[in-house]
Amino acid sequence: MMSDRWTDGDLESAEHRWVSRLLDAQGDVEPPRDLTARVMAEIGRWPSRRTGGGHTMGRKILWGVAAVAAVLLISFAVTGYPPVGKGIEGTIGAAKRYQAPQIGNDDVKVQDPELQAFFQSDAFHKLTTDKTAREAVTSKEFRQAVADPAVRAALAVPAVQAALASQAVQQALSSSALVRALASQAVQEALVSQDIQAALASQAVQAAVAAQPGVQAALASQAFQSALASQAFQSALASQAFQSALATPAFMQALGSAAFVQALSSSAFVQALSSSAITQALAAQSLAQ
Amino acid sequence: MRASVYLYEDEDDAALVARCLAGDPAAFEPLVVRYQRPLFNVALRMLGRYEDAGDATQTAFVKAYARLSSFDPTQRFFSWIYRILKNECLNMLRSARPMEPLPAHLVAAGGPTDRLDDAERRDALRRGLMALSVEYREVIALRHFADLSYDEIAATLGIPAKTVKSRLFSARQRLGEILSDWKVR
Repeated sequence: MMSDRWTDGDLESAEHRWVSRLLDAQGDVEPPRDLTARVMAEIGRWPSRRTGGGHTMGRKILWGVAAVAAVLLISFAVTGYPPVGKGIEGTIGAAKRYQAPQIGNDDVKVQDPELQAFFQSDAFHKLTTDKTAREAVTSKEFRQAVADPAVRAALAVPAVQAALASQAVQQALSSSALVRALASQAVQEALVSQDIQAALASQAVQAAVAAQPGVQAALASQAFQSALASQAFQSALASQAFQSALATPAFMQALGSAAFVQALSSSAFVQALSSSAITQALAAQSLAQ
Repeated sequence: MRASVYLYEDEDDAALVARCLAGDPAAFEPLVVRYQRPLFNVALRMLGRYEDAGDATQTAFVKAYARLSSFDPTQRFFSWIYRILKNECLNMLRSARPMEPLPAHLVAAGGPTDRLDDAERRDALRRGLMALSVEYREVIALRHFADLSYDEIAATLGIPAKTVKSRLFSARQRLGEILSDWKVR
């Protein structure tokens, strides 16, 4: 490399050539592993460029709708859905449900524009009426996972969303051995260098495949390989929170729910997950089931 | 082996920017992946601290995304985002805390500096770079840590290639003097 460096008329005195050599000997430094994920998470907080502005409803009405929707969402998370009204308890016998303290206005601040979009979306409606999806979203593991910017950034990538919607990929990700293998340092380094085939051929991955032969088909699928090429997905795989979410039956079951997958493919949903108000509410200890 | 930042097709960059502007924020990710390494390494040499360089690079990308509509697709994306990064670095330098003093054996005349280990040599070089003016530091960073040619540096900085050569010559000379004073050779 140095040989061609100095053939283009470099003005350099022999006296200071050692300085150049010293500089070149330093090599470049690896950026923080989560840099891409951090940037994409920040960008995910932005309102859509295409839909920016042009609201037809009055601002006050929007705030009202958003606030009501926020209270509904949190209520679902706390008490389950549908809410049990007075006088109905007797008909379902002696079942007891943990009742967390009600969250007050100060607990959830509905200030983010993306929340307004989310609460008005079809994805939100389906999410709140689909039991499987609701259980996944309100599960402790999912909340912990989406509190991680790397995971939210991964969920915002279309290739990752497409991969998660694939049954073959879901089967592969349900193998904890495979997920651990993908998170290993050797595989991550291969993925970062965009050498997907080398990553999949690694000893760790092949050992996971041998333990669960059905995984092989998923690894060969275009959807999975496209997702693996995404640096955001690579970072998410290395996230302990994401691994925990993948190991959660509720999360994996939710991937089979049309409502959940539709929510994942909704930028409004992912943007809502990026909202500190939602993630704080989701991750709040007071919501623990 | 460092990858040249101009290895990629500029048309591809422009197409990705167009997709972002059309409402596809995920199209920004390949741009981040493509340019984070050279930008981070330049920021690291400009700022001297790993964490600061990471923050500056992240902020530069986010600001670039916010201003994508002002990007001229006939220009190179790297040149455009580099200017955003440089401004961010300058802002951080204005409010930066002072660097820690040199270890005593590096400043003591006649000290055992001929036996510097690699870590000490790297640290001395980092401090030497930080002792240069921003103009000198950036040409060294673009040349040696982003692996740009003279013409590419000229396009990035908006100055003639001839000026790049002479500035780089002076910068290396000054750095050599500083390091010689510290007996790093």
